[in-house]
Amino acid sequence: MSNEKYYVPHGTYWPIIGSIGVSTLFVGFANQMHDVSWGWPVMVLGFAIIAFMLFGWIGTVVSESIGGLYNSQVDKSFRWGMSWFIFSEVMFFAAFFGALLYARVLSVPWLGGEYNNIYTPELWEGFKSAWPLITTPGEVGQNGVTFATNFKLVDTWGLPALNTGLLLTSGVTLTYAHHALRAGHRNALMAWMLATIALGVIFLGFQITEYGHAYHDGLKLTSGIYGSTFYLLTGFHGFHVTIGVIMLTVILYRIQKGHFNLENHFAFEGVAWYWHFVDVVWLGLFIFVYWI
Amino acid sequence: MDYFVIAIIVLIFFFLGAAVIGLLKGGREGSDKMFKALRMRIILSVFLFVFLLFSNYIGWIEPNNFNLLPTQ
Amino acid sequence: MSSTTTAAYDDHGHGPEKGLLRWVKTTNHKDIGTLYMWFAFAMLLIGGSLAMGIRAELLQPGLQLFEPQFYNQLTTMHGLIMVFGAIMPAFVGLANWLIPLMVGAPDMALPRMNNWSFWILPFAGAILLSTFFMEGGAPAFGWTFYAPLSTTFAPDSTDFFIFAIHLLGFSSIMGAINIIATVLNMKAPEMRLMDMPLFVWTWLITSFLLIGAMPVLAGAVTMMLTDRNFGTAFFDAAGGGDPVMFQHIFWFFGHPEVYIMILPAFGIISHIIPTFARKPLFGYSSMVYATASIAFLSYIVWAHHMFLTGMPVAGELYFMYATMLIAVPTGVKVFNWVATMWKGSLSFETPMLWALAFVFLFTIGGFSGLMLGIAPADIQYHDTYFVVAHFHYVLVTGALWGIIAAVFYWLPKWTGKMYNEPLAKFHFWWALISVNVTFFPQHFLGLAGMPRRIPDYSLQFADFNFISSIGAFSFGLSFLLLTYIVVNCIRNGKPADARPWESAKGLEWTLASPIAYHTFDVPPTRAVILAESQSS
Repeated sequence: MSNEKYYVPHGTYWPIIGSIGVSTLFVGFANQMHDVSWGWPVMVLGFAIIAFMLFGWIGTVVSESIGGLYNSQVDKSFRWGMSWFIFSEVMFFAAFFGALLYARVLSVPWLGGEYNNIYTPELWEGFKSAWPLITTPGEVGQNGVTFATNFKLVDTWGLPALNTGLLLTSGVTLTYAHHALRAGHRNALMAWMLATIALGVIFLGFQITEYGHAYHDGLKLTSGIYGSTFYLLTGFHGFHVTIGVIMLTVILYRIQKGHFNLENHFAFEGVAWYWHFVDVVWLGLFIFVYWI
Repeated sequence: MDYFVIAIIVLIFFFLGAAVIGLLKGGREGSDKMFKALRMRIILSVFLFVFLLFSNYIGWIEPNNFNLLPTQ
Repeated sequence: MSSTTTAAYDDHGHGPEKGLLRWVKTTNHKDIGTLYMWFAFAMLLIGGSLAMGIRAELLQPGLQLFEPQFYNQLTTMHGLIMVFGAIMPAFVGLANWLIPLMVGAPDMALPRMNNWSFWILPFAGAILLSTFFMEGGAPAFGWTFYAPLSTTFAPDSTDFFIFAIHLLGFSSIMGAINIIATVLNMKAPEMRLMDMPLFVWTWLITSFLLIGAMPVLAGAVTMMLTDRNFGTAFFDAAGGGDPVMFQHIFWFFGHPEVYIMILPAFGIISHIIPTFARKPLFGYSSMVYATASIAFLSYIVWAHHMFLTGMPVAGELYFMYATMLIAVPTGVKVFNWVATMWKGSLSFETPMLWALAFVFLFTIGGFSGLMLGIAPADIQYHDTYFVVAHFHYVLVTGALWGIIAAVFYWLPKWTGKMYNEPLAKFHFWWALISVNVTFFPQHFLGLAGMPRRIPDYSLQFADFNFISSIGAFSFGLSFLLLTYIVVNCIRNGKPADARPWESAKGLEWTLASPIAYHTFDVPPTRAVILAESQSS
């Protein structure tokens, strides 16, 4: 906070490296999906470039922050940026939750002929709407996929409930860490952070195990709308937990380096908020995907 | 019962939102606001989860039995 | 806490770097604004040449030049390039150039991210354009990429298109975040919200629309991607999904999107008309509230694009009435502009001509939108050339007119030089007449029943199509003159005053011309802000 002036960095190479990385990743991915042999390696390369860019970029920002180049106004710009970034994430998840609710409340009942809908029963004779939709209206999709039906549902009170408990506990430990940071108890802070990260990692491990079980019991991406919403919602959530764990680890590293103090710990707050957000999304998933 | 659950979820989102406002404010005051809001949100979440476990155990609510619109 | 807006520069306040790398590495809002504008202009010319192809095919009935499949690629890519490559980047470019100057800030709030939100665009544009050269050709399902056209019946290149949309979405979201942070955190400490110029206000509100809508589009294309490649069934009724769901998700993005493309233009017009009417803007605060209401309403009217794709009648009625409501705040704006001109001492320099044409022609586009918003009437108009005429009146003579007006209005500030006024006026009349010759007959074609997105048509549509094509070629040519005027201004223009329009208000005019590389290192005082405020 030593600097009086708003710091405007000069030239930077990180954005162009980022653009190259993201484009490489996407071009590789698109080719991979069309069975081009060099798809995978290019994808991995793109991923590596992005990782390099993120570490470099964030490293630059951190060292500028440590170097006292940022005043409180710069800090506030970061706060605005983080808040609205998270809002964009909320809207991204909203699209998938919207798809889930639309399917459950409207499109599946319509296919079963509800709401005086006289046409759809003609299309799929004998189809009964239900949720979870275990038997799809047709056997083969329009893209030629044979739907993996007759799967067994994931037991709500097994791993998912356990995972909910784990993730909520990680929210509690993070809150304690936050408290410890604000009270200036460094060792407690590190312990609570470590606990949070460990819980996050265990959550991810269980999630992978659960995918294994579900897949074994026949619930696949190709299991019609139930499998689609199930895997995309939980998958994107798991992706965000992974990012959250990485960010928490970075924060733990920075705590260990002594980067934060009572007054100045925006990075911690931003990541903490992100973790709470991921936690709440999971609660929504548990209720709307696994439970009701 | 469904509406009670939804109300709690809405409250959780409210506190999550309040935390962002704290995050935005920054400084001691914002930090306090954010911390308190996040603490409220985790308390509510844990409460909701325990409540779900409990009411499932008692039999108040059943899984996969939820309709937003009445069926005919 | 934000009592200090003074800036410290990494380069110790020196000017721009030498050489081409300057443009790659730059974090300067003026440089990035320039990059955005030139990128948008290049895309405008590319998208425009595709449109020339479309009109050449439609010059006469019968299949002349292109296979129907290629014709569909032309219409699809024309729409995508114009929306995502030309109009949106141009507005972000204007925001980059103008917002820090208008709020008295040294730069954008997050300068490095600002660089990234531009430098994603050329990559995304290259990926999008490269689909033309792929097996099976470019996407051919219309810019709305409805499922199942985009999932089951689309070429392989669609996956590249999906990733291009993802990239464009990242760019827009980062740009919007930056603008919000700049406006709310970087404005001069002495500037209050209701002192802010309207371009700043409209862009602030547009940013909220972008952050709310673009992630939903990302979600939609992600579902498309998995439906295409990983066997999900979001948009496949056989698996319990619904192709109509695609339309709901798409238009939940798509309707805010159309306001994303017009609100900043409203802001621009609200600057130009007071300047050349030599009167303060009529109803400043009502302008702000009207913009906010339009933005709010834009989130709850999306299904008026879908009256014919299956919806309960109650839904149609709701979306129809909600759509009608938008006419109220939009009407407030139009009447405010008219009231600003009332008894003013008007003069008609080029920016004013474009702004006036905007008011007239955008209003025509708005009214045809109202006609389309009436559910029973829409049954007749849906997917006809009437729709094409409607959205070209709001996007070409609305959004694009706003951008061109802004370019002429602020070019003297950006370059420090004056453009050739008689030539610019000539260009204006050329563009104005030819754009109307192009698009006005399309109303009649649509009412007579000519469907859109079709390479051939029946003989009774021949005359109006001929007129429309001639107008389009002429309109297309006018952009060559525009290029000349702008380049000529940059190279040989006469030096312009710091305030080339004598009654222009705004902090940007307090700066010397040609403008320095770094401005507002020290924030303006309250007295200066009040003297330059639109609201007083």
